[in-house]
Formats: sequence, structure tokens, C-alpha cells
Amino acid sequence: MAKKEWPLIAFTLLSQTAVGFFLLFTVPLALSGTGTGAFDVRLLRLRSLFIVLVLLAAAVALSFFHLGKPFNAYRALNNVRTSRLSREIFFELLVIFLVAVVCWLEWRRFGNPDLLRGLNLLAALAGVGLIWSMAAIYRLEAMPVWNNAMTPFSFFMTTFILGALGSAVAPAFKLLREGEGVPPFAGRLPLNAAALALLALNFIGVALFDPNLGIRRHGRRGFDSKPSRVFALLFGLRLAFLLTAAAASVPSILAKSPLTPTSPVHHLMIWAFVAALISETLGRILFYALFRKEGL
Amino acid sequence: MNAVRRFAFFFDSSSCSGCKACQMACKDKNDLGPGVLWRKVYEIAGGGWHREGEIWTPGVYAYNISLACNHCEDPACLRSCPTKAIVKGPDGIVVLNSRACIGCRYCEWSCPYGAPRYDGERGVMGKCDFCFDLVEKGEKPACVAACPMRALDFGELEALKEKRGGTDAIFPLPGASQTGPSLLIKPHKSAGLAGKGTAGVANDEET
Repeated sequence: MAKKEWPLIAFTLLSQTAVGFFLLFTVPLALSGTGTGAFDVRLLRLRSLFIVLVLLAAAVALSFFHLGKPFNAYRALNNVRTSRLSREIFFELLVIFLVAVVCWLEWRRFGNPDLLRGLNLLAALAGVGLIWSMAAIYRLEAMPVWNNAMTPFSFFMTTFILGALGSAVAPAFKLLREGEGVPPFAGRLPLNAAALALLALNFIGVALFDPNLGIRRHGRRGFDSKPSRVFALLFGLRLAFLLTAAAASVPSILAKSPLTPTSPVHHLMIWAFVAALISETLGRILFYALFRKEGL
Repeated sequence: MNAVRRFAFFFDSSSCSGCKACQMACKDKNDLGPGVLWRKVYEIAGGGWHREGEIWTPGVYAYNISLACNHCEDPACLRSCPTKAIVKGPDGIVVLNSRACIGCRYCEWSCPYGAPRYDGERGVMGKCDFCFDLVEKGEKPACVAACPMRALDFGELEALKEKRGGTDAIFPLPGASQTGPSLLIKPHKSAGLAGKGTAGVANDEET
């Protein structure tokens, strides 16, 4: 894999994590009403929106390193009609704009709850559009290794796995200070169970259908008939980290009460997030290393 | 140039010796830096030795394909460019405006022939423009003029078809249905064999 692809790896992973976190943490919080219990839901929403904005801004900033002429980047929206890359950038900017508006309204305590809920849903739709358009970029007829269902599958898996695990570990990153209580969605059974189910689904999908190294890999022209040992090793590590993440999230499902930021089970969830992040990073490295035109 | 013309390249694979004079003429004309090739000569090689009883017979073959931008009817690079830096003229020539390019390299990914090439020094993409400045003056593109074997030719597509014949697909080029290349190739006698066997590009490092 060429060095020039590192900014793309960072851009896709950061954007997908941000969208996943927004969809699975911020939006449910926004839809859950004004909040209950000992903590301030508005403050929690603000902090989560700020995290999403920081992740998306970092993704955009890093993407500039991929460009040969970054000062020309303002032209990138010129061809939304036919260019999938233009559409991706459009959705990225739309999500940032909508999340920033929601963040500003929350901060200034403007807007009624219905407006905020509507804007959150709109931003969520734009987020899904962003991941879809991101996957569409790689669905090129000239590149059969990328032009298959595994590309959108892996991009959405990254989004939801890192989003779900990120939501589960969010309190540990001081989204809530100790003593503020437990957020209504983070660290609770349904989200952790969903994270485990997604990890299992991703493991099966990757092990079976990875275009280059999966058990049922494509045998079409343009694919690597003898993948290198380095790629095979990285692929094995990717699967091992996925299994580690799944194993580390099991105790959170067996735990009877919602997790608090200080519980040992919650620390395991942090390890699950880190293992899943490493696995997805390895997966993305392998994805870009597949770059191969049909024929030539 | 009038609005109905569509310029095309003709390449005679059976005559090409792989000398790369076309490649160098293109580099010279367009002042391209090291590693930047708008025209590339691919060496396709395959085959092996076959045993029949106690006798081994050679079945090795190799041929060349000289390839630049094919100025396609439906250019994938033009569709994918986010800045509209790539445009197609009324003469069918696809031109890249490097001043509008952001160097994202998406055109390089999209083009089935890998025609647009990244110029690391300038941070922008570049590609064959059919030497339109020469063509407008009634001269030949630099690559065509430089070919010592007369394996390259150019002209208006329909006229070229009548004059030289040829196909728009040869192993290992991708299917012509993807983009409709303005390209005519007279295949080498081994091209049919290569498509069925284990042949591949033998000079990857050079291209």
C-alpha cells in the first residue's frame, strides 16, 4: 500500500466513527427528551456533539494531505452531478454544518425540542448518506477488487461497530464526570448486545467474503491469486482483534446493572473499542492495498 | 476542427518492437518529469514449454501494447473528476486543465486504462491531449511521428477504421464497453492465445 493512502485511511475511519457515534449516542439522546436522573442531558448532548464535530473536522483536515493541490480544494464541489467524490465531500460538509447548527442551538439554548429533534434526524440522514457516498466512490468498474458488496458492508460495519463501542465507552472519556450518573443509552445492555452482534457479523463477513483473503473470495480476473504472506498475516491479525473485541464485550452483556464509568466491566469495553479500532484500521490498510486495475 | 469529428489512435501490435520511442517522444514534447508517462508501452508475455511424449516444444509468446489516453466516447475520468478539470472538446479530444486540478487522483482510479498520471512535482494530474496544438497545425502527434515501425497512426475514427481496420479490445485491455475508447488495434497473432492462458504484463515496474 502506498504512503499516499494513509490520509484516506484516517479520513474514512474518523468520519465513520463520528457518524456511528452520532447515530448511536447523540441521536438517541436527542430523541429521548429532556432527560431524567441525576445528570444534565443537555450537557451530555453538547459534549457528544462536540466530539462528533472534532472527529469530523480532524477527518477533513487529514484528507487535505491526500491532495496534490490543497489550495484548489474549494473546487471539489463543482461536479456533484456526476462525480461520486464531489458527492462524498458534499455530504461530509452537510453533516458538519448540521451538527454545528445543532451544537450552536443547544449551546445557546435556542430552538424548540421539535426543531432540535428534526435537525438531529436530518443530520443522521446526511450521515448515512455520507457513508453510502463514501462506499460508492470505490464502486468503480475499472476496479473489480473494490467494486463488490464488501465495500459498503465493511464501511457500514466500521461505522456501527466503532459507533456502538464508542457509545458504550463514552462515559469513561469523561463525557460524564463521576457522580453525574449513568446516561440513558450509553453502557446499557441493548447497545452492548448490538455491538457484540455487529462484531460477530463483521467477523463472519470478513472471514468468508473478503475479496482477497476470505474463504469464499472472488476468483475473477483482477484479483490476487496468491496474496502475499504479509497480507495474510495482517488479515489474521484483523480477525484476531475482532474476536478480542467480541470477547471483551461479552461481560458487559452478562452484567446485570447498567455500567458506570468506574466498573471493571466498563474498562473491558474500552479494550473492546481499542481492539475493534485496530482491527478496522488493519482492514482499511488491506482494502487500499488491494488497488489493482482489471487487466493492466 | 468541425463538431462531428472524433479523433482516434491506431496501434499495430504486430509491428511494434517495443522500442519506446513513442513514450520518449511524448515525454519530450510535454516536458514530463521522471516517472511520469502519458504514453506507456506494456509488454505482454506468457506461455511456456509443453511436453508431448518425450518431446518438449516451446509455446512462449510476447507482444507490446502502446497505450495513451484513448479519448473515450464516455470518459470515466471526466465523470469522476470533482472539479470539472477534465473536459471533452467538440473534436472528441479529452483535455485536463491542470490549473483546476486538486490532485486527488480519482481520475487515475476511474480510468480503466490508467491514462491520467500524477505529477508529484506539480501536485496535479496530467494526460495525453492528442498533441492538439500539433494536430491543429496539420502535424502528427509526437508519438505517432516518432514511431520507427509506423505502428502508430491517428486520424478521424471512421476514416481510420476504413483505412486500417482493427479492434478496440485486445488482451489484457478492459472491455471497450466500459468507456467506448477511440482506439483501433491490429492484434498481434498471439493476442488470442494470451487471453486464454496465463499471460500478463511483464514490465510492471516500467509502467
